Order: sequence, then C-alpha cells, then structure tokens
Amino acid sequence: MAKTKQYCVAENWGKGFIEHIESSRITFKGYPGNVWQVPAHNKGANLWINKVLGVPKTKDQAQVIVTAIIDTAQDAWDANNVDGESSAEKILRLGSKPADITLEE
Amino acid sequence: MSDYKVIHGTKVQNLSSDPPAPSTGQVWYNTTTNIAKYLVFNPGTWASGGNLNTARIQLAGTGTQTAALAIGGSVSPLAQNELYNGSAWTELNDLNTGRSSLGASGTSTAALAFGGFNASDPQTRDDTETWNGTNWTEVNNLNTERNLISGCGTNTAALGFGGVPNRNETELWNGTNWTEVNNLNTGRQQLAGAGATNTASLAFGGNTGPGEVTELWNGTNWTEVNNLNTSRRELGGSGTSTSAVGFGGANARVQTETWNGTNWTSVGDMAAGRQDLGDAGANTSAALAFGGYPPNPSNATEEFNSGPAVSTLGAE
Repeated sequence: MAKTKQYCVAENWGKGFIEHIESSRITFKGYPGNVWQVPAHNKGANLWINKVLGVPKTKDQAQVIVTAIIDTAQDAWDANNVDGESSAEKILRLGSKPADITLEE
Repeated sequence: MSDYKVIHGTKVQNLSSDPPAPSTGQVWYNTTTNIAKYLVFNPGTWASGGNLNTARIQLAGTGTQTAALAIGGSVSPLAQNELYNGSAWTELNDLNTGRSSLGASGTSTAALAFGGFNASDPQTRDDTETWNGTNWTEVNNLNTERNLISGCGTNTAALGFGGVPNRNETELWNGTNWTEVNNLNTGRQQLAGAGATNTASLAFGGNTGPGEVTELWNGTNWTEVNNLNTSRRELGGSGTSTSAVGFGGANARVQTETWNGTNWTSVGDMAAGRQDLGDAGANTSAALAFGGYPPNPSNATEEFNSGPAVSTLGAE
C-alpha cells in the first residue's frame, strides 16, 4: 500500500513557519523532536518542507526520534517526586505522564 | 470543461487592484499582479506565531491575538509575564506571587490574575493581582483558594469559576472585591472559559463527567447549554459567550471548535496537540494558543483565524 504520510524534521522558528494558506491545504501534525507529518505525494506539502528546510525522514527514523524524546520525558516524570504527594497531586503539579506515540504510515 | 461565464453568466472581472470589500465567492483577476483571486469563507485554520521566550505549562493567558499576556506557569520562578504583539513575545515585569494553574482576565494593558498553585510550597493560592500595563499590584484575595481555575471578563469586572478539587464555586470581581455568587451546575477543574464581561460568560470542558459540558452565565445563574463535540480537559478557550473558540486539551488534543452562541462546530485542527496551554482571543475570528505540553514544556504559539479570506486561483 502506498504511503499516505511523509515526515521531516524542522525547527519551528515561529511566525511564518506554518501559514494559514498552508494549513488550509495541508494537514500538519507536529510531534516531539521537531518531527512533522504532512501528506505524501502532495505538491503543497513538498513546497512547505522545502520552505522550512525540513530534513526528510522515513517513518521509522521519525519514530526513533519521537520515542527517544518521550522515553526521556517519561523517565523525568517518574523521577520527579515530592514526599507525601499522591499520584493525583503529582498529575496536577506536573501534568499527566507523557504517553507513548506511534506514528502512522 | 465548462468556463466561468457559462456557470455564472458573467466574465471574471479584470481589476487593477484587489477590491476593497469583496463578497464571499467573488472572483477577480488582478491585472497588476496577473493573479486570479477569489474570496472564500475560512471556517478556521491555525498558523504559527512567534515563540514564547520561556517555554512552560499551566500558564494563564488573556487579551487578544495581537495583544496578549502569558502569565505565570510551571517554570521557576513561576512569575514570568510576556506580551505578544501579533508576531513576537516580549518579557515584562513579573507577577509578585509566582504560580501556575492560575486564572486571568482582561486585556494586555489592564489584566487580572487570580488563584493558582506553587509547587515549591506547595500551596494553593487565593492571591489576586491587577496589571496596569507596567506592573502587577496585589489586591484582595479570592474567597476560595484554588488552582486550575478558569476566568474571564475584565480587570474591573471578572468572573472566576471551577478549580481543584472539582469546585463549582463562582466568584465575581467588581474591581475591589471578590463576591461568591451562584455555583456552576457541574463542579470541575481544568476547564476553559470565555467572556468579555462578568455578566455573560461561558464555561466548557473540564475533568468532571464526560468533559464536554458547557454552561452559560447570565450574570446571575449558570445554565447548561449544548456540549462540546469533543470531550476534554486541560483545554484552551477564548472569546465571548456568543463567539468563542475551544482548542487542544489532555492527550495532546489538536481539535478546535467554535461556539456561535448555540452550538459548537468542529473546525481546523491545531498543528501540534497540547494541553495545559495559554489562551487569548476576542472572538471566533481570532484566537491565540501558546505554551503547554507534552512531552516537554512548549514555547510554540499558534494563531487561529476564521472568516473571509482571499485565496489565489491555481495555487496548490
């Protein structure tokens, strides 16, 4: 089955990184590690990757980047404890424990 | 292939400049730029905005898309205060009492910050501070201390509602004191709010029950109205009781909905899902999302816009 998504790594510099005209025509999904998912075989998506100097990644390469960031964040969350604090209080203080992310083909 | 004249009965207009007030669906050819354009109605899309100077979660926001404050948050000393001008954030004077998970109301030059939590104490806050565009000044406290509270209104007429633990208490600020008024029907925390005044406000989402409950405040009572389409807590919200935007939320939600005074409508997703984020905006035409997580505190800003928009024919 032909892939429907493509991935790249690009640092979000802020204003102008994604324009309204682009998001009206392309579905963007941002992931940890500056990983971006956009449609495959799409001229607008390819132009956007060129604009942001995105470094193309396979899905597996992108998954490795995302998983490494999540693993580090999960370890930090597990290690961040306060004596006497309940699990509910910890979630209120830190937010929920970062969940695993599985990228789509 | 049919052509425009066959379908519409008229030719595409040739204009030396874009029309000052085109109508939705109008098509024209700009003879100066040699570009064909048309006016469409954009139901809602997000674009990147300038990044926060300090990435953080559980911050408060208030103001408009082009004049917003990002207040407090999870990063020590929890007192950072930044101003957005539509393209970039600038650091301003800090809160007197650092905290996260606080509520806010008002504008970028006349704001109110209230409640919150300081993890280093750890202590839930009832502190209230007012912002005059330059400095924060401590004023009278909330009657009920709480964090993960929501709020709306101005810095002289604000409403604070909900908060930990699943509070339904509502308090009204008159510029000097907080007064307890009628409760939310559904007590909750991690909810969002919208409203230009303390007499017409909207509370939506949160962690209680299905997380989609919406209530409307008429200055005296809360009334349940139509639910969000997507249940969620830790979301952002902005606008008024008749023109609001809800976005993001727990589990890194990207979904965005607009409220027209009666119903929520799903519109374009955020580019990056996040929760515990900051929010600002005057109505459904323009909103701002900033900060939040996961997995790490974010400095990203996204700008939401809806309404008439000029597009270019032939563009991919």
